[in-house]
Amino acid sequence: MRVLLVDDEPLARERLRAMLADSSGEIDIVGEAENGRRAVPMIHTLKPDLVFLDIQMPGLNGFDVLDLLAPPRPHIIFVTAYDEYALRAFEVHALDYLTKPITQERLDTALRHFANHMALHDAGRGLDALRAERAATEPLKRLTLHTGRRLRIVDPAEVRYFEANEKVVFAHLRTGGKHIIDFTLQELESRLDPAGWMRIHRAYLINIDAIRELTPWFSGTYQLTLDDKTVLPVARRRAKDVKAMLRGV
Amino acid sequence: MNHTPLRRHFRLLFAMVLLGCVLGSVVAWLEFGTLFKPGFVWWAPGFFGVLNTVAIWSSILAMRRLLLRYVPLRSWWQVLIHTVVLLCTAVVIFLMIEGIDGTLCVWLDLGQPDQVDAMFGPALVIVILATVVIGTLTYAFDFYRQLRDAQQSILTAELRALRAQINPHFLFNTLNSIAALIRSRPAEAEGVTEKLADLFRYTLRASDHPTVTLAEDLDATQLYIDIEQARFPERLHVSVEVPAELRAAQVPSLLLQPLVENAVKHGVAKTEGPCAVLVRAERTGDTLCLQVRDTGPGFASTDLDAVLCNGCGLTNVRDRLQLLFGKGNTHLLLLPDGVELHFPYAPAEQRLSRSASLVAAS
Repeated sequence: MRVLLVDDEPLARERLRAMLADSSGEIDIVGEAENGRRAVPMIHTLKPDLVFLDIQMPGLNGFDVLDLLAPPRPHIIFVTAYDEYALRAFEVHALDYLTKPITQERLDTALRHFANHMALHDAGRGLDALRAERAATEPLKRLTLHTGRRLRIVDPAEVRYFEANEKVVFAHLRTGGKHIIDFTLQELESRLDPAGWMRIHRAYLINIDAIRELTPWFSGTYQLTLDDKTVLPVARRRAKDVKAMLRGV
Repeated sequence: MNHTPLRRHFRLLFAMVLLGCVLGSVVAWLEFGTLFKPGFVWWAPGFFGVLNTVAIWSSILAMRRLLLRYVPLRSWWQVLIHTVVLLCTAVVIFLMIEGIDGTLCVWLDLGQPDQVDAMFGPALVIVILATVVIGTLTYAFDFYRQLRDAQQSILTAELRALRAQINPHFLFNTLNSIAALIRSRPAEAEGVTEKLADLFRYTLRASDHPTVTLAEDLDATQLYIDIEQARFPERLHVSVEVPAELRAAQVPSLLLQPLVENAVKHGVAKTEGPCAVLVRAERTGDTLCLQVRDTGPGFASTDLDAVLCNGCGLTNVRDRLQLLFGKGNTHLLLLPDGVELHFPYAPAEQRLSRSASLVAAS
């Protein structure tokens, strides 16, 4: 099985590596990431079967990493030293986790559990539930962009606007460029800061900072000009909200 | 340190006896005032004053002690019982003394008992007033002492809570690091274990040694820094800039470690790249200025009240500094990249010999 280790402490990775070497079964450690920002693209490109994911990391923590993992997803065994919130989440969603210092016995149990679940194909159910719960409560810290076959992680503030075209959602960056992302416009609208983002149309979600001008168009519709001179249509039924928002700014 | 309350007790006792003698003399003078007109007996007011005072005073205080044992003051009607019983005691004792005084007057040939009776009314009023005054004073003093004890115990409890506040996340991660080092670098594992033990011992002893020298507190903080550096060898850089002459300064124990822990928590744990923590001390006049800064993202708010919270390390540090140096002498400032403390510089040379080895010898 192909395994990826994610932990910001080198000693913790070193120990886990040594313990995995001692455990039975064929384990191939395909990579190690020292933070969440490195982990997401590595999971995307290396496609491991199993990820040991530390919760407390700078930048993107373990849960933030999970937010950015679109299915198909590897199985995840969370690792934490002591985090009451995390432990509660693991229990509620029946997720696999290990507490530090990890013991060989518990590590072996978790690996066996993973092997059994792989056979049953239901390893991802708890993770989906946790993701859904976080989608309802936690704001999104970062976004994943597809650039060619690679993944890039950006701050949502770097995006000028999102555009939905058929089933695909694109992020238009402030630095130029247009990239496919894995979130729907609904997901983005609910998980980005409502004070910073505005849905102006079925197909557009706009970064409020990028707005320059609102001009009347025809039969109650408007046109919105952005700071890079992009012109986008404002839907008739959203025009009132857009005007109210701009007056407030 | 234990002399102060005892001395205060003596002072209070002396004041009460003086007050009693003055009151007693007034009573005696009222009783025998008419007697002094024909031939003044100079010692009579003082003699009867002391006699009456000792009798009334001791009976009231004894009755009060008895009452406190059997009728605890927990409700208003219990307070009423105390008041009524004490007043009755005072009146009964006064009536007894009245009889004794009259008899003594006749024996000592100071005048006739019927003359004494004329002043009975005013004297009784004074005795009742005196009882109320004594009662109020002693009960108020009791309440004050209880309140002070309660405050003291809150502070002790806080310190106890602080020393239990060895962050479990830090502890478990350190144990994990030690477990990792045992396999690859046993000597380093030994070092980290010893440092963790020393740090833990220093924390446990903090309540026994409320004040230490800056040098001692720095040594303990260095233990913490060394452990964190084993966990984050690439990412954590700490520099300590404390002039040697300031290391004798008196500070509350566990002053710096919570601040550095805060800096590591908010710096390293939130920065993916390297993070530097700086500990600086500087003296301007009589004021010692301590800074703990980090290159992390900084405080979310510059509002002190938003950053300070109940039971936080930072709040606790400020409270203990205020306890040691007084509220007006202690200042906590938020910098964009850390905290700054100002408090009086007081070298603790006389204490050096006693506790210099607190960390080293433990």
